[in-house]
Amino acid sequence: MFSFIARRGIGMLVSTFLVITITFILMQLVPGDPAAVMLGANATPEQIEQLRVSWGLDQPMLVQFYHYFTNFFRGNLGESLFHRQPVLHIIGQRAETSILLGLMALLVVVGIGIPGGVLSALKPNSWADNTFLLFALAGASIPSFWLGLMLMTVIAGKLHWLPSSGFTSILATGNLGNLKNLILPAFSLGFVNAALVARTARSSMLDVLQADYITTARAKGLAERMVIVKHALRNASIPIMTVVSFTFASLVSGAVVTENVFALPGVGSLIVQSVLKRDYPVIQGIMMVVAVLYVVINFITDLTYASLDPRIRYQ
Amino acid sequence: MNGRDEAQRERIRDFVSPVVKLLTKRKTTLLAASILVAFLFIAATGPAIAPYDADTLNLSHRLQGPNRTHLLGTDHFGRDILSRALSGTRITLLLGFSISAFALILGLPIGMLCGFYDKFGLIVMRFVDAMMAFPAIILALSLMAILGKPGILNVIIAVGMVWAPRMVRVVYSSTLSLRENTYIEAARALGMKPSRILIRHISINLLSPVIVQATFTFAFSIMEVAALNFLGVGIPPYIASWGGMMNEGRTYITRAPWIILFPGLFLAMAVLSFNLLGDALRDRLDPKLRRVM
Amino acid sequence: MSRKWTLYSVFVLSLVLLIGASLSVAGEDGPRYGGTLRCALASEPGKLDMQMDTGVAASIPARHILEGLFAFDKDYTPQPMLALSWDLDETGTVAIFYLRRGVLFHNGEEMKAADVIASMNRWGEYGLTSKALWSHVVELVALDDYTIQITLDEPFAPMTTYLANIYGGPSIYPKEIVEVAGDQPIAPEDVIGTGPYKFVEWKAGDYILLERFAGYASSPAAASGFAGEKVAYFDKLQFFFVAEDNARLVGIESGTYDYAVNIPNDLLVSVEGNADVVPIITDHPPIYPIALINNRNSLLATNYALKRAVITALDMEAIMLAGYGDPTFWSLNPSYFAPGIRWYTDNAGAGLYNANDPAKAQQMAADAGYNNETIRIIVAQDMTSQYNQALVVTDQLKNAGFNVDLQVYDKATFFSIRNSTDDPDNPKWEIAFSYYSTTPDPSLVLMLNPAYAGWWDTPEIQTLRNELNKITDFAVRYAKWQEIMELWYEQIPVLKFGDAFQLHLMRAEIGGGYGTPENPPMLSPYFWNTWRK
Repeated sequence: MFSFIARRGIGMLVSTFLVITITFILMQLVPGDPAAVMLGANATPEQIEQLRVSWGLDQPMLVQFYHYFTNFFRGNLGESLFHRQPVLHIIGQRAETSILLGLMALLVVVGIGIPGGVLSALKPNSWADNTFLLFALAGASIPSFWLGLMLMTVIAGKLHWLPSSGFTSILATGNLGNLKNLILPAFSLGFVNAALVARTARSSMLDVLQADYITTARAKGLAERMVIVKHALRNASIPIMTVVSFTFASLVSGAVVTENVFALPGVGSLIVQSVLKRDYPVIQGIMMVVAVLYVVINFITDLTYASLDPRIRYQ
Repeated sequence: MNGRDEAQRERIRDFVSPVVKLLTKRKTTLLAASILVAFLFIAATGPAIAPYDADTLNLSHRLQGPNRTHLLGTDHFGRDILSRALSGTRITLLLGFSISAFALILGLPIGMLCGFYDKFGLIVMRFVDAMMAFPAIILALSLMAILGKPGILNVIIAVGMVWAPRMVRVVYSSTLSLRENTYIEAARALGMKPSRILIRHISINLLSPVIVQATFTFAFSIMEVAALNFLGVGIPPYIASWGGMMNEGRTYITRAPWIILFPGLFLAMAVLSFNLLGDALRDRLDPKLRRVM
Repeated sequence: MSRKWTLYSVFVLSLVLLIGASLSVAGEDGPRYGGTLRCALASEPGKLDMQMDTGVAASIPARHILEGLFAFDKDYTPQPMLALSWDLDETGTVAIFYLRRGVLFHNGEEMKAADVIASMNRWGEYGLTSKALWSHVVELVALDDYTIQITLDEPFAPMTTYLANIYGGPSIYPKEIVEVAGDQPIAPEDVIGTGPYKFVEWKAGDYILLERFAGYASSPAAASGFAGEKVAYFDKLQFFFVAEDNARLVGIESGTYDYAVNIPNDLLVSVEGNADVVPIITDHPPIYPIALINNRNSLLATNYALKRAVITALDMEAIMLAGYGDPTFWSLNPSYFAPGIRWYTDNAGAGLYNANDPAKAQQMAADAGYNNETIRIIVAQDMTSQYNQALVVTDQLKNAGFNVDLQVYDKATFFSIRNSTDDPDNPKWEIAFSYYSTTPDPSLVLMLNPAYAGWWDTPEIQTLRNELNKITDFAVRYAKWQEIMELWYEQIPVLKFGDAFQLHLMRAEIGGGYGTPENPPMLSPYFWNTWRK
């Protein structure tokens, strides 16, 4: 086990290094001038050049990379060109929205997807199963932004049951009621992924339920509920976990569009705005934070697999 | 003479009958295939079947709901929604195919080489992992920004670069497991050149996972292109595309919801069909793949 | 006995009801202090430093924080604000400004001449709209703590207009802030002014929060537009950045926001009949959708005949319809300024503006030597009205036989291409779509600024420009402006499409009469003298 952890751990560090390098290189290639955007339509070329120099955008690439790399490990991701605040601080300010959105979407995914998939596997090809499958398939196919816009118009716009957009920090105001603002976004974000998870859960359960050891357990007279929980679920859980960890990346992706539609002040909308404004430090910072987070989550998932399925440790 | 005809007919049957079986085994697959054929037909015939030109501006007809002259209504420029949606089919399928092809052309050789040559694989797979650590949209956004001017080619490259690593992954793990096969070991023991082994034996067996992955890539990539168009960073907005129509229409969602509704439905149908097809292919070709895809 | 009690209690009850009713009625209509006004903006500003930004998004919150020596009243006449009064000598070159006393900055310090001088010097050197005035300034000194004197080398007629135009203009900051900032935009927490509200917080991507400044010294004059008395009834003003049009609309309908800026005109029908929402149409003044032409070195630069061919092909009605929706929201107008503004002229454009004759245009182009060269049109996709107009114009020009390449970019790239002055021999565009707001004075019109994109700098316009700035008498200036408009339609430096109004929405429970003719929407919305009913 230890060598497994060590191997994966080193892999994780290497991936992190590569992530930082790739991000930096990508950002160097971006055209468009943040200084021009910052100063607005009426700035003169001299003013723009002045700003570029003060931001250090005129130095050679390697120098910039060196500074960036060393700063990263000190926790300093640079300063936003537009907001004049440290990048990490800005990401931190907006992290609450995205994290809450992600957790609520995950709740939708896991809360609807897994039970739905498992239950329909228990009664394959029944009327309920087929209906569920159809919904799941439809769910996986509709664009989340379309769903979001529809929900916003009908539920918020026409029925006024839920707020339509925006989000005020719960940490700052202490008002848990603000979670209402995240219900529609979480649902439209999570629905698509819930469908995918449901399909995987279903097929995984189906496979497992046909295995010999299940028949044996039943033949032994074990209660059906025990069969399902103790044996079937346990073994079906690995592919389900794979899909759930994919879901993290998919949720982060989807959050970008969802935050855009619902005007949520999260990290997703921040990156779109930063790309449009060419705020390089922020783009770099977000790409890296998210990617490193993903690498770490993968690492943890791998460790969990290894503990659940000993065969994996020797791969 | 007769014998050769017989042999030919049998060969055709051998090819056609599994396909027919695949399509008819489940009703859903048949439905999916029909929808896809319909889309292909629309893409092929192009403007010929559309009632109006997709790009003609007709400002006196702005924002009309579905009616007799405009079956799906008009947008804020007076352009016919039905014609634009049909026109969008072409670009969508084109982009889907191109992106899958891009991912395949890039991913297949790299994945095979990684799976076959351990040292090469060790290094390159780390890069692949790193690339896959970036969430799809974020990577695509940045790549679009780098490539500069919005355009069809740039979208293909940007989204293709997001899906190529995934293809590499699939090819890599399949190659790894194929390598353990006895007959491959035998071929190596017999001194067969690695390149020959790769091309003659391994690649053939990669067909199943690659086709399945390509189908899903298609489905996901057209969604992603729609999302990029929706965010305003995809193909130029005046080229009719489903995502672009939804982006333009989002302002009018309360006043003229048909602008968003219909392209969304078209998109959902296309993605749905590809998902169903991918499922059927996967179940038919290699049910074991269900666990990893 | 019981009857007496009954009568008595009825009497008391009625009294209570009467008092209660009158109290509530008084409360209904009268101003009330308290609460937060939530305003939804369409985009996030780059900064709050008004001296260095002409963006509308920045000016909306910043206008509550900063003030200048003068301010525009509802007729756009400059009125003293931080200045008490001023004198101009007979030569017209020496101006003395007497400052108000007891005006406090948000940091508690009193505004004095030194602050004014420092702020104005900074604006003169780095500000975006200062050049025309500052090139004539010989000396700027403080005569004492509350008096300053400006000496010019020649009379500059629109001086108070420039001082009132804090949109990119001379807002007054404390001296210490200005000295530290230099040429860098002042950071939000240092944007300290004399206005009725002070800066509290800018949460990136979310909102800007302002709070009432208790020590605000209000101007004694009657409230009018940006000038006069400003009472801060709301405790706080919160400006949210809500890019999604529908989110702003639904937000106003549901009461999440009290004021929403720039709602697409086509959506007015969604709120008609909704008693809780008041539409505010900003026609005072309108904005001007204008496409710049690259007059320096592009295909169209000096080929006036070709430009005339281009404008002849255009159907202005269709272009305005595409950009601004229903005709109640726009009007056709070849002159730069809109009718109702005193600089409006009607002497130019006939026969060219809205000629809508593609066949004739094609012929004119051929006569002008047009040989199917590419005309590049650039536009930013997020400037929706402009994008819509660009699409229509491209279509119309193509129908007239022109070879048009429409290039759509995001704002950042669009500006960098449009403003790019490196490689002057290789023009990057022929036509660039934009829009402009009314400026209070013709000399502030950006098209007359030779350094501004478009670069209209022919010898004829240079002459007229210089003459314009020397004239003080309005009637004579007006005549000179008419001459400029004539030249405008000879040399066609830009394509003006019309006058457009924007739609803002306000909740009905916001009192104070904002939006009525006595209190009209100005260049940007303002929330002093308003309260929640």
